[in-house]
Amino acid sequence: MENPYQTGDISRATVEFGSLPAADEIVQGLTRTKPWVSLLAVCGFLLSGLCLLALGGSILIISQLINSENGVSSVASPFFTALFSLASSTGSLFLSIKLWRYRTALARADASNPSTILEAIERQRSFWKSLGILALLGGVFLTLLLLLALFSAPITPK
Amino acid sequence: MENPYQSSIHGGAPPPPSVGGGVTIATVQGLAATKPWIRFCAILGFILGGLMVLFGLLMMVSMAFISMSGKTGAQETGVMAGVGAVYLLMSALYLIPSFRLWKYGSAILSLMMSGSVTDLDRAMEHHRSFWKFVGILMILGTVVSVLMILGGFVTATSAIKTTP
Repeated sequence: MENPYQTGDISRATVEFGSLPAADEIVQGLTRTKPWVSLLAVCGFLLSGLCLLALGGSILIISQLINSENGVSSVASPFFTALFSLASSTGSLFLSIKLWRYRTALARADASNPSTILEAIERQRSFWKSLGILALLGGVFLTLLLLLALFSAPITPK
Repeated sequence: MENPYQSSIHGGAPPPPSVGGGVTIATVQGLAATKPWIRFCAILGFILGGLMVLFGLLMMVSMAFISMSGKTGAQETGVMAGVGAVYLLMSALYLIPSFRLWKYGSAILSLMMSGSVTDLDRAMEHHRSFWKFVGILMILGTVVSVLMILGGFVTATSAIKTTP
């Protein structure tokens, strides 16, 4: 007897899908992306390191400007550069770690062990979620920075 | 007799993995849970790409108007128009992967609806295509950056040498 209270097509389709021997397709499809995912994760780690270097440089410039004749008034630009570098480095490192974990899960994915496939998919979801949230936060941060720059711009007399 | 009041697939706990390496409902549910974030990231990419197109076009059009008024030289106009064109090109770097990501999300939706292996293959192909494109872009970006650094270094060195 069929379930009269069963939900729409999606549920029925997934029930049918449950019996398909498609684990090999999923594992093949996922593992083919592994070299690219590895490359991007490594590039992310390198980017994070470069941003840290930029942060160090900005801090050095700030310390020199404070000690110079110009004083504290001239540190606004390197201060924002330092802030941006710190945010970029942290975000890049966080995403690279997530991507590397996904890569590790891909390396472990095995068609005969469905839990490894599920883990890889879960890691993928986690990466995209983190990227989405960080992109949103980055957008808000940049908008605030833009507004701050607009409102703090000196008004030139006519 | 089957239980007519059995809870829906999405509401209940995932069933045990099917025998012989078959795909479980949990696998499709996992991909389905990824879909909203994939769509969200794709939309952000579209917005960013769209803004770049807008900015590039605005730059080119405004420079065309300024040059017609005769307030700037031909060289300045050319440079600004070039920057506008670079923005248009850069927008493609956002729009193409976003489009591939969107296709991946759509393929997951089709997979959820049909449950066919063809849709699964399509989803995996779009997934691979996205990562490949971004990977190639990253390699190209790195090569261009290294070349620019080397070019800058060579220019600076030659400038120092020619300075009396």
